[in-house]
Amino acid sequence: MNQLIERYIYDVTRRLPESSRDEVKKELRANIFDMLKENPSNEEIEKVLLTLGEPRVLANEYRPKKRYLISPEWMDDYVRVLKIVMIIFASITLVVSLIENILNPEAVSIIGIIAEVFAKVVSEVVQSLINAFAIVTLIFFGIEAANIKSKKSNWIPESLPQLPKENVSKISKSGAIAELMVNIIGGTIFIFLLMKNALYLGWYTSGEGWTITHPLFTDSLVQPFIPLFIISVIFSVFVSLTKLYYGHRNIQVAFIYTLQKVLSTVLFIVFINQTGLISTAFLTEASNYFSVNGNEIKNGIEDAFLGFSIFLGIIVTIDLIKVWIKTFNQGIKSHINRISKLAEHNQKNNR
Amino acid sequence: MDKTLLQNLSTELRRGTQTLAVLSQLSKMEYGYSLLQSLEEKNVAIEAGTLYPLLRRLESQGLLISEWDVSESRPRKYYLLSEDGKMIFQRLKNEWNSIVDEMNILFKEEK
Repeated sequence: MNQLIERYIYDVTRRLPESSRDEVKKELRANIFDMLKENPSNEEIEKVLLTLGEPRVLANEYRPKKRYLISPEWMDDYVRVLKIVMIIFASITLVVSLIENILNPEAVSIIGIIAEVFAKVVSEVVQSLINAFAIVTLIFFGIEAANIKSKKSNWIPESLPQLPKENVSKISKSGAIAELMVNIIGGTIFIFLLMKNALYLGWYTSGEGWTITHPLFTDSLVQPFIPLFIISVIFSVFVSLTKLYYGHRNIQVAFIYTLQKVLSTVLFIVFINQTGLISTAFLTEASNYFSVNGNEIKNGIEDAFLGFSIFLGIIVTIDLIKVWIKTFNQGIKSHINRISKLAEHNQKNNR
Repeated sequence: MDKTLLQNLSTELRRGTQTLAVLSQLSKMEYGYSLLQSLEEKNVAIEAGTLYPLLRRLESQGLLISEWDVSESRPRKYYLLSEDGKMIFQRLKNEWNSIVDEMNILFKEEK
């Protein structure tokens, strides 16, 4: 009979900090028995427990402080960061796992391979999403814990974000996110192929399946560039995030965008114009196959790369000029706007 | 009219007054259930599940002092206003009176 009461008390107090458990237990027991007559029936006990309410709710009333994993004040920032991080994690995993699984299938039949790739990619993407969720949540939990400790709010009015200016050409959010994903996906594929260039890029010979006998690039010339390309991709992600942060064109965005474009383009051009980048083994194989002089092929490829470099340089330059014109135009527009408003204001005052 | 909305707003409004109601009754010793009954007799709406944790909270804030009476068959925890509690109760009562005055002025304007 009393067991129901003890179970109720246990269910309330097990949710409380250990230090207050014993005292609350004693209080609750005394209060419950006060609310009952001598030798109460089961129904009477149940009625009293029902008036006290659900143990979870009562325990919450007893708790000195409200507890959150992520408190309401941080929820907005948390959700915003979570979205971006999840997109980044999912797209990287999608690309890497697609490539890995398509290139190294375990199944034999086409349908088997499709099913295998699909299942593996889905499970790896889901896993990466869970990881992203856990990492972001942990970081925010840490920020919150640190904040509670210091208890000081170091908010200063100066740190408020700038108002979105009138008459600005806005950078579309979905555009910036799409760019972010393209950068990540494209960058990951590119770096992945370079890292394993001996495996996937080269002269394919059909024997039992397609295998590479003569890699396209000289590996020793490729490897030093890989860290630089990784940095370049990270930089481009940073630029996209800057665009997302400001949400409109301004000098800062244009500057960092220019810096990133110039650096990555120079890096790429230097990379493809290295002498000896195309491996001799590949050239020999190609010259045998097409029965052309190896040197001619070499010169042809080098000319093509040089031509492509110039083409790329022109395109990037045009792009950058466009960006700066837009940025300045907008600066002038908002300036004119300000002057005309000022003039209006003065006119009113003069009347 | 949304009934839960009204209920939420009225619970919110009453929450602060519950502390005041409890403090007002504790210039003499009371235990949890006797306090609940005396408040109920005076038509003050407070639930057991709210009152008991509230007593504990007020005690930990130093507004109440408590003592276990184990002389009878059932142990009971008695509460009484502390010196701090008496002072704070006076101040809160003044605060309450000025709130009532302010509100009355606002409500008169409304007509």
